Amino acid sequence: MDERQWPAEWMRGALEVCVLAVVARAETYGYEIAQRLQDAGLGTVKGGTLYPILTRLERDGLLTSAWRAGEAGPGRKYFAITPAGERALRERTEDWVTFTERATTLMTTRSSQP
Amino acid sequence: MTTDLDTYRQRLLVELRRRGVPGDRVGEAIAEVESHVAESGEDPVTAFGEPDAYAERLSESLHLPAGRAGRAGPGGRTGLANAVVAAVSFAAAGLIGGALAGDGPVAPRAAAGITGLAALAGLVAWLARYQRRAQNRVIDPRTGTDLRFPAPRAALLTFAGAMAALLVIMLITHL
Repeated sequence: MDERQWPAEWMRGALEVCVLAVVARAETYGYEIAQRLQDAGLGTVKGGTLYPILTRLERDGLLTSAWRAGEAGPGRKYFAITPAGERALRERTEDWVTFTERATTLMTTRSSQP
Repeated sequence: MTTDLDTYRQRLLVELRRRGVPGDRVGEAIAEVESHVAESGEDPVTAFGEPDAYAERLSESLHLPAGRAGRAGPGGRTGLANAVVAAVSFAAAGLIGGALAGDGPVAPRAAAGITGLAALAGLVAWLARYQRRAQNRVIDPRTGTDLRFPAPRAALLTFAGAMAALLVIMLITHL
């Protein structure tokens, strides 16, 4: 996937749902979430952007977290999705698809209504 | 790299405290930074931005109640703590001074001196405990113990050292 960065305001709109989607696939930790987002072509997501989102999702009860010791180094904080998180992910994904379809239709339709 | 991380930890601690973030959340935030930069190999400022800006974003995402921003610690009790420290210090100094300067039977003077010294020792112990409580302990989420920062310990040692020096000077001038 290409390495391009997307406008910050687009990322603000999409990132929270994308982080939920990454954690929903498998329990994972902050740095790996950033890697997955990059692998998906969403560009580089810095720790300073990612952890406030994870904090908010956990505060809202959509994620849980647990620290585990790594082989070496200062340990990793693993995040897992909760049932409420699964529900939120489904709803927000549906909304996102509806929104982007409408926006795409508007952006790509040249002929105006008579 | 390690000094950078230590500095970042300290500055982030101060900035989160200033915004009234509870100690356990401060510990989480610091552990997250340590863990992330250990994996990514980045400089903390590159990964997380300047500590004040990052603390601002984190406390926003915690949605702290409005009134909590501002002074850290139990501000309302600071006045009481100051009064207690002042009163005990004066009383102890009076007792020790009286014991050293006064004349008359030795036994009561020694008793007064020892009482004064005991009061000072109690004050130091109480101050250490008060400081820990006022700090709303920063807990390392990985170990469940206090996150270690060198600065407060150094301050307490300085205080204890100053008190000891003061006593030595008083003893020398009176003997």
